[in-house]
Amino acid sequence: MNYNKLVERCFFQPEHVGVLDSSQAGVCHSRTGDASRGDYFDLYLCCEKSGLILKACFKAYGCPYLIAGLEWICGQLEGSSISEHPRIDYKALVQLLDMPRRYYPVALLVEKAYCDVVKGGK
Amino acid sequence: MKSPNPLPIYFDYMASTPVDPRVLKKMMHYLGPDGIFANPASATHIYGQLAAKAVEQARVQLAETISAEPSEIVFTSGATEADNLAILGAARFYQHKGKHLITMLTEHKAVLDSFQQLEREGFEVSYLKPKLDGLLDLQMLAEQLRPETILVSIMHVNNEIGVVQDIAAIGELLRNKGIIFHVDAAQSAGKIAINLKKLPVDLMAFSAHKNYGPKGIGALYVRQKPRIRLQPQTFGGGHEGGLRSGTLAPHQIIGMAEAFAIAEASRSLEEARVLRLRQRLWESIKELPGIQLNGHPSQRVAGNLNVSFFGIEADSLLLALRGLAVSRTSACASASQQPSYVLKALGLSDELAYSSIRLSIGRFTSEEQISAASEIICHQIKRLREISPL
Repeated sequence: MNYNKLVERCFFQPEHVGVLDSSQAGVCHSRTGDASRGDYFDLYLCCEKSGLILKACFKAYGCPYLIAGLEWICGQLEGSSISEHPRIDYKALVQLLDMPRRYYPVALLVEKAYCDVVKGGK
Repeated sequence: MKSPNPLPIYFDYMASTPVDPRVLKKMMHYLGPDGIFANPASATHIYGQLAAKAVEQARVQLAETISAEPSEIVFTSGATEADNLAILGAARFYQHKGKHLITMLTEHKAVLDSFQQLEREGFEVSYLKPKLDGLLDLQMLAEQLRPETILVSIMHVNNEIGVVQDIAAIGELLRNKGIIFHVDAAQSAGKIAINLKKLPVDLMAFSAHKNYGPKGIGALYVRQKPRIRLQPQTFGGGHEGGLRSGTLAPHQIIGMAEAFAIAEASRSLEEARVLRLRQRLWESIKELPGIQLNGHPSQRVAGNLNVSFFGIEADSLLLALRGLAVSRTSACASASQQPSYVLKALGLSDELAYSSIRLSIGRFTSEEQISAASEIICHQIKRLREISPL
């Protein structure tokens, strides 16, 4: 399998791997997927009262597209205002990561988790 | 300047080996206009006679490495064709004696697909499940034997998990029962001593390119005493005693014989070195959480490590280890995108079978490459585990 530069960078040098304490104020968490199906992940974000997203991070078990998609999403979330989201859909991920058709469900899962966690942050 | 994307380190010697430079040098004499290039069947002129002589010398050279008679060697296009000729040829020739055949679930596709073809022709095949370590249960084989059993096919070294079957014991079990014993030795020749004067084997298939020879050439050993008969599967000229028609390729044949001779001459030292490298690699990675060695830990060929990484997704595993040229399954089955049927026969789940790799070490693997592989595997597996929520 050949991956594009963005997938390779996000997969090999992720900067947003981690866990946030969901019991803390401003922290939202979404758990998605099914390990037996090959994709299972947590997506976290921590928002200030002003709506500024201070931190976004993830933990993932899955294919390189899943890890790269979450890493990229976290990069988009961190430092932005929660009011700007959701602004990314699975089609954007498919295009950015050059995902083959059989991996589209992975992009849909990432989109769902992203929307869920943003909704929680609001 | 260092290349940004250097080629991965080759750890796929069980898929194919490079041609040994000594073999290559010898082969070159049989290709160009100044060499012995002619058709060995062209008996009317000196060119053809020289080619025929070279082929026969190579036949002697190859036969010596396995303690066979030259007349017991049939050259083929590779081990797949040799397996096909052995299984289809023997079953079709002896079908008047019975139509029951026995093999293992973990055989190479060249064997399994031949048996499936025979099933379509009305033969009955018993597929033996291996023990959890990949080895054959001799008792299970004994229980499957019937008066109408005519052929048993068990490979010497498994191409995925590297386990070595006790073909001497299997052959003894079948002796004097009128059952033909075929062995696919594509992965064992040059690595394990093969003495067909002593081994009770009737048919044995060989490949050159798994043994530092060229691709496109193999051989089938066909025992003469007692004589094993085969129905030919190709027609057109009656070459190779009528068993395999088609123009012989002197450069390939000379290459194969030379490769086998070199391998046999250096076998003990080379296998000791390869075993030491494999043990070093395994020692350095065996403590990684979730790692599992597939196949018997010691009754396996020196250069094979087949490992599973529990909790590491298959595609991520392969990308993470892109610095190493490894296989997820056998090269002949990798196009199927299915989990390894060999690992599944050992009881692994689909998920774990997908998250498995075969590392195979060979003649040109260096200590430095083992160190680099160890570093890559340890670093990347730990990194993926840190990313994982499991």
